[in-house]
Amino acid sequence: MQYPCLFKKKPGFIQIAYERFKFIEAEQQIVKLDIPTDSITAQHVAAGKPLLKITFLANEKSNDRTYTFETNEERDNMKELLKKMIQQKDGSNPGTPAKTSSSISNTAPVLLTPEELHSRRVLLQKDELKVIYKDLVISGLITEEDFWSSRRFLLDNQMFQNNQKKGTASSSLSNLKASIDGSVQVQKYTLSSEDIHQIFLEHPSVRRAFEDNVPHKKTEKEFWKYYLQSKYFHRNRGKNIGDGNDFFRKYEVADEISGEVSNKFLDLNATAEDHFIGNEPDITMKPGKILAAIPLIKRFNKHSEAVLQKYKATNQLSNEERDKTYTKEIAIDDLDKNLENEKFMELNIRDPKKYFESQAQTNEQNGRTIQADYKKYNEQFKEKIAMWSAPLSSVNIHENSTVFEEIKNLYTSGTELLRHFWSSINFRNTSDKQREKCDKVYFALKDLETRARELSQMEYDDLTQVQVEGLFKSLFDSIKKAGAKYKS
Amino acid sequence: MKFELDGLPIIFPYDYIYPEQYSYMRDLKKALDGKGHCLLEMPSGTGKTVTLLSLIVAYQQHYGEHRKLIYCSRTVPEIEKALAELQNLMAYRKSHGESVEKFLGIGLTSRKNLCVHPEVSKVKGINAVDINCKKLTASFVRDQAKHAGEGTVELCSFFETLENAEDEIPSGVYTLENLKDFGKTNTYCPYFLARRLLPMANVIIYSYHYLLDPKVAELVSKELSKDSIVIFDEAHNIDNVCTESLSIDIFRPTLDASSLSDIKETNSEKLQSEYTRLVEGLRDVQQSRETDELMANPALPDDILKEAVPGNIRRAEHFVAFLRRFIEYLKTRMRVLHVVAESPISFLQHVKEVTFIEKKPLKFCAERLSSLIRSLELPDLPDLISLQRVANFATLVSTYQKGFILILEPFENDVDSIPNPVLHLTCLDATFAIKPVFDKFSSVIITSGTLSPLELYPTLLGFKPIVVESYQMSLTRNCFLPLLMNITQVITRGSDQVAVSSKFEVRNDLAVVRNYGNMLLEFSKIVPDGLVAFFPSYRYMESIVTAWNELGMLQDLLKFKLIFIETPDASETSLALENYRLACDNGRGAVLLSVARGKVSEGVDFDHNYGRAVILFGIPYQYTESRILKARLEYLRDNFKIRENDFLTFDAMRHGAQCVGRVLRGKTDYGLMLFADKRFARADKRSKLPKWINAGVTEAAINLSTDMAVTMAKKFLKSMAQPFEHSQLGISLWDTAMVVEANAKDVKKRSSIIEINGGSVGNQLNGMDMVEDDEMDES
Repeated sequence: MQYPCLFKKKPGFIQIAYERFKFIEAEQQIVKLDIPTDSITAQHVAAGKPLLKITFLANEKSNDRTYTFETNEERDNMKELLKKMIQQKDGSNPGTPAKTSSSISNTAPVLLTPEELHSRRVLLQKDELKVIYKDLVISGLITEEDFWSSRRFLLDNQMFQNNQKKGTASSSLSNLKASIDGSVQVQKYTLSSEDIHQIFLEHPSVRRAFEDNVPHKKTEKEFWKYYLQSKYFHRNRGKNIGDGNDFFRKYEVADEISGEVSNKFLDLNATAEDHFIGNEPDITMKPGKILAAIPLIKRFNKHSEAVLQKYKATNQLSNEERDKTYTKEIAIDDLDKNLENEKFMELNIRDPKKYFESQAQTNEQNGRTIQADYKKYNEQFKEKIAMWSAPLSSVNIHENSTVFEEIKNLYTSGTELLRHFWSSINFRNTSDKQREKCDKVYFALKDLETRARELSQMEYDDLTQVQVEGLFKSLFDSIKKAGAKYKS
Repeated sequence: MKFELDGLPIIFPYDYIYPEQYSYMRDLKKALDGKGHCLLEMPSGTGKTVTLLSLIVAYQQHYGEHRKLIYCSRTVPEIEKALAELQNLMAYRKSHGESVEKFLGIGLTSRKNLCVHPEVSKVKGINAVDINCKKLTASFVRDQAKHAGEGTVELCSFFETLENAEDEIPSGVYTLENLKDFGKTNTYCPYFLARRLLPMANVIIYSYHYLLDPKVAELVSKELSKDSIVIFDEAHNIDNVCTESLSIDIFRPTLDASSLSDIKETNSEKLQSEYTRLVEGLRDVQQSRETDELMANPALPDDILKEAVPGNIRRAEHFVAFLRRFIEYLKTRMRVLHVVAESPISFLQHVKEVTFIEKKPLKFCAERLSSLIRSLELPDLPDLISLQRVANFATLVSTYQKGFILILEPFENDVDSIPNPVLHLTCLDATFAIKPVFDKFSSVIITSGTLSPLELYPTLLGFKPIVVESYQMSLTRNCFLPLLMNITQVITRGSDQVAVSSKFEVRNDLAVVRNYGNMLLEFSKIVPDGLVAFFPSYRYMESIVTAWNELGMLQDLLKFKLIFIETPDASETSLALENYRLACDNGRGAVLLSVARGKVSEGVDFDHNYGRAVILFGIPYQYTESRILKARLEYLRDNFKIRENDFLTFDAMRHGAQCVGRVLRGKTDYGLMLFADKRFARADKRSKLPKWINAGVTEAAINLSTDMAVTMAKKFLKSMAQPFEHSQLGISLWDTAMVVEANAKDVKKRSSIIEINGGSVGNQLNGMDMVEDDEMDES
């Protein structure tokens, strides 16, 4: 995307792509400024004039540039765009997924947002994580950042959950309770604006009545008094006072039919008159014979519909949409080859050329990960995994026994350590820091192995030593492999 | 994919094919080659419709005879679905270079569903669209318009344009909705367009009734050629449709409405000419136009007397008096306050003794009434429907003596004190209505997901199939889990059913109500998205919903899922269904409560997230205290040697299987099938489930408590929710090469058997004689 503007009175345009912010002078096509977008720390606008000042970090110093746009509107667009980027960097915008770091970062400690800290705390309340955390992080084997880097998805998920907005609750929409002041005769209800909104949602006729009467004919208080005396309020509570019913009666009519089905595959009504029925159904198959049930059934259907109201498409399907729904409904997916491709989201790239150029660069750095190679490895992996059989043994252990807990903890810690071991040893140009970590992890692994061996030498009531050893076998094998690699 | 089946090139609109689909095609082809009838059971959700259509369209296009396909389904949504499948198939064939020019596929349904007239289509009420349509399109109305000049008499512009149209409708496949769109843009009446296209169309899709109900079939399907291929899809219930199409009920209001006061002998001139024609014995009183049709004779074509209308009802005033007398007689009969069951013979005897009405003029009643209405030009007589009902009753009761019964029930319910009498005329024998179809058409295919036991249908329907097959579901992973729960049975049959009929309140059985409620709650906690529950009857569902509400269980349920319930009103139910799907799609999840033989159980799919579990509460037995059912059971026992219990259980199991089968569509789909009744565990019940479901029942899944079932279900759902990694190819999925190989093997196997046996392949029926076999192999 290009945004034309002036810099030092020379025309040019701002280009924002692939996490880089560039200013290019139009005349000579010179890139005057090229900074990563996440180096931008702040922006300022001038009231009245289409000016935008950005502040960014370069060479650990704060710089700024001021650009002049043609109109305020364009400036504001740019401002919004940058705002999003700055927010994203700060992690304060939960809507966009946070960047995931794929390798273990040994760089300076990352500043955490309060939100992420909170999420970490929430996650650590889970027993499983707590134990590993205690074993590995608090004991200093691996750093806090390493620990979380392999659990990025958990954090993202937690952060998403923290920010997820609650929809309308499925259970009763307007759940008002009376507060009783001493005497039983007087009941006092307090209606919040949210309550009122939900009542309107549930009973459109109440809404119509409200719009028609308040505030010209009745005060709000009077209106709600009627409501509380009517069946709308009381039918959910099993009794019917009935004073307010007359008032609402004339608004009821239109409530009955709430529309037609847009999907003809669900139109049960169509069959009704398609043919004549011989003998009427027997008594048990005649619907509507239990009189009390019908209003009840309608109420639940309506209630559930009201909850969904927000998501409902209001307009009828167009012809093309209808044909599309038809095709979708009749398709049997697994008979189609192309199914797998559909599972992936299409990559939406504004400027493919640029994108591939940048990709080519990174590929050169990281070695070859070209499509064909990927495919080859994938095949190889598939082949190998098909032949792989897990050296697992199964033993009946009481879930409450202490041995079980201990074995489980050792196992999870072991796997975690192994993961860190392999991720640190496999780098080609290992830095000192990584080597140091690798050493640390390896010794921790050895330590763990000893502990596990001790455990398998002990006497148990319900287990033999062979059985316990069997349980650890796969772990021991893995540690052995790690050892071989470490030594080489 | 494209492959050859015994030299027939087949285009199948997918890249892969299920092995059972291949076998289905192979056997279906055998039946078509042999020009015989067949009976095929194929598991739900394995793409039966598309298999059928692919084979038959290939057959039509390849062989010179171009046999027409008449595809009958139960409900309008199913018709629409089949049309959409056909549309897809033809588009695929076109993309594979096949010529689809001159191919016409069309569906037909009632005026109400097809009308595009801006006002008529909006009228509400039973038959309202029909009546209003006739007011605008009847030939005498159009004659009037012609004489009176432009603008004085209102006509339907859609029909008029169609009348004057010369250009043909472009070939292709039209869903009902497409047809309406086409009608709207070209100002053609879709209903009459479809009617006129029937003889030309290569594929016709409509409901059973257009072929089985003589009142309609005679008008709509008479001209269809004899070598057409007829399919009854979802045919597990076909015997009921057959008996229903010859049965009729008379209610008190029917008789009150048939006052005949509107028929005044004013139009004496017209009546006189009608009389003269009747005297001359001309049956076709008038050259009847399609728009004037009222309803054809309710009796089957072969049973209609080919002679002139008897003298005593030829004059309009005589006939009116005659009909009045008969109605009065029926009124007196219906005043009786005890149940009467009698044969048509004794009924006619009594009619004669009391009113001196003979059998013969009664037989002509329906026809005579139609002629009168036409002569009087009364298309919109408000009481017409009631009158026609009485006339139809008269014709049927006097035409058929065997296989029918009359039952008078003065009270709707045995405990009622206010009479609400009904006179049922019931056909007990399904062979009557379907016989003309078997006789007329050379290949009739009866198919469904649940036809067990296959031996039953040839007896029930009175035909000799040349191919009978049931297919297993080939599976890479067990994509459905049937769990048989040991919940105490609900009393729905046997002597206790008296209680069900009258004072039945589920409150009397609180333990079961609670059990069921808890079970639903537990499963709504663990089942993602959609959960469907079926009850044995409306009455049961309505009482249990009331009881659950009182126990506060529905409020509890709302905490986990939204609740939708089938209502007596079809439109409301449709809306509830749509909302249910919305709730499943957006992840909130919902429970749908519905009835096993009700509207929802037929033709609505609950595949993928729309149904991860189906609960069957109780066994969906028919109500055995029903007098009609009792009479039918007795008739079947005496005439077909079918044991009552067997019939009932098979029927219940089929309906149960139908319900649970709705959860699957394709093999990557998955779903739980919960049979919540202790009796399902019994071998005699279980063995009556279709084979493909029974194959999935493991010993561990029998007689489960709710807790155990929940544990198993949890495990199942978790493992199923994982991506489907194992390749199905070769096991439950074939590519083109595998199909070719299978076909070669089949051909080889057959030729070797022929050498040895002199040809007894395909002999799937023990009772089949060799002559038919030989014919089959030669053709």
